[in-house]
Amino acid sequence: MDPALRIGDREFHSRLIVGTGKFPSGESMRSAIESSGTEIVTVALRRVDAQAQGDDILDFIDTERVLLLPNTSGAQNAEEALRLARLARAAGMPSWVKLEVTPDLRYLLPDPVETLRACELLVADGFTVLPYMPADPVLAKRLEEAGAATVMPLGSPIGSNQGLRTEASLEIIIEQATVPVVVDAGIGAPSHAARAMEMGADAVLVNTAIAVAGDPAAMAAAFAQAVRAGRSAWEAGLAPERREAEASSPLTGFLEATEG
Amino acid sequence: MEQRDSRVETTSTSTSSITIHVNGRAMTVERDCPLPRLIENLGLDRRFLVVEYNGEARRREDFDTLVLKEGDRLELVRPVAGG
Repeated sequence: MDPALRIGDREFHSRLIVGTGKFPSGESMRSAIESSGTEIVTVALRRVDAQAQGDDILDFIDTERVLLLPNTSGAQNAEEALRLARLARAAGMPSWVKLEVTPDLRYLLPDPVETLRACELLVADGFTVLPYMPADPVLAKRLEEAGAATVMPLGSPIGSNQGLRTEASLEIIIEQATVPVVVDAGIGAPSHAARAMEMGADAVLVNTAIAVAGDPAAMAAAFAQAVRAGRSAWEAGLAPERREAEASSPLTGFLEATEG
Repeated sequence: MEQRDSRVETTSTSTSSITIHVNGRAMTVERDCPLPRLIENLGLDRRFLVVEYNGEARRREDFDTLVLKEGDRLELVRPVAGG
């Protein structure tokens, strides 16, 4: 039996975290969250626009069943991340935060220096911090030492669907981590998620690949299966990779060659 | 000066109105306007509203007791979809 995923002081049975961006409608998001089986969903914070209020996203999220994880998207430095996190906490959300500091808008790559600084500020302010980070094993250790509850290295740029371009570094991060490793960003297909879990990642975070799928709810279910399969494979212990063939059938007891 | 009926809301004279900044834009409201009235006048859904008042995040429990002053800066924020 797969033990629960422990993050901070909570336990989760789903290892799939779902982002709420880019869904075609609130209803499609609701059904995708449901079929994903997720217990954590991310949200962002933005200024209200009295002219264009529209549906409220929280009308489509059952906060009794899933933990709302506010992100600090839009923050360009540590102070802005802290400001956003405090707003989310004041709004009554749990004091958990997905830390994102991404000053570069083209690739949305996390700023490692500001991310580490923000993590220190947020931990000191009592937050449970889940930092989105470059797939850098040294930074992962530094974030752990700063009190991060997880590390969330990227597979490839946000929304790019390129999969695990950082695989070699992810392997080292997973090998060395003492907090859960959540592979975040770039996971574009269930096979990518399964691969991350087979490598020993503790969870994955998926948004775009589900939200922009032809059928988001069906894709969410596919991701849920892939995450479970990958996790089960890791628990079972994968067979080692070899350079040369190793016969599966016996190499003795062949029939005698018939005479021509 | 004529005694003003306190039940009548007015923003017509400079002495009875103040200027505040909401999400970076200047706005005129009546003097001593309570925060809940501003939220209502803007037509905002209070359930999920987050208020930063002069740089400080305010808890929802504090909304009712907050009275706006000249020059106040407010950021009104809410959760939106995001990854």
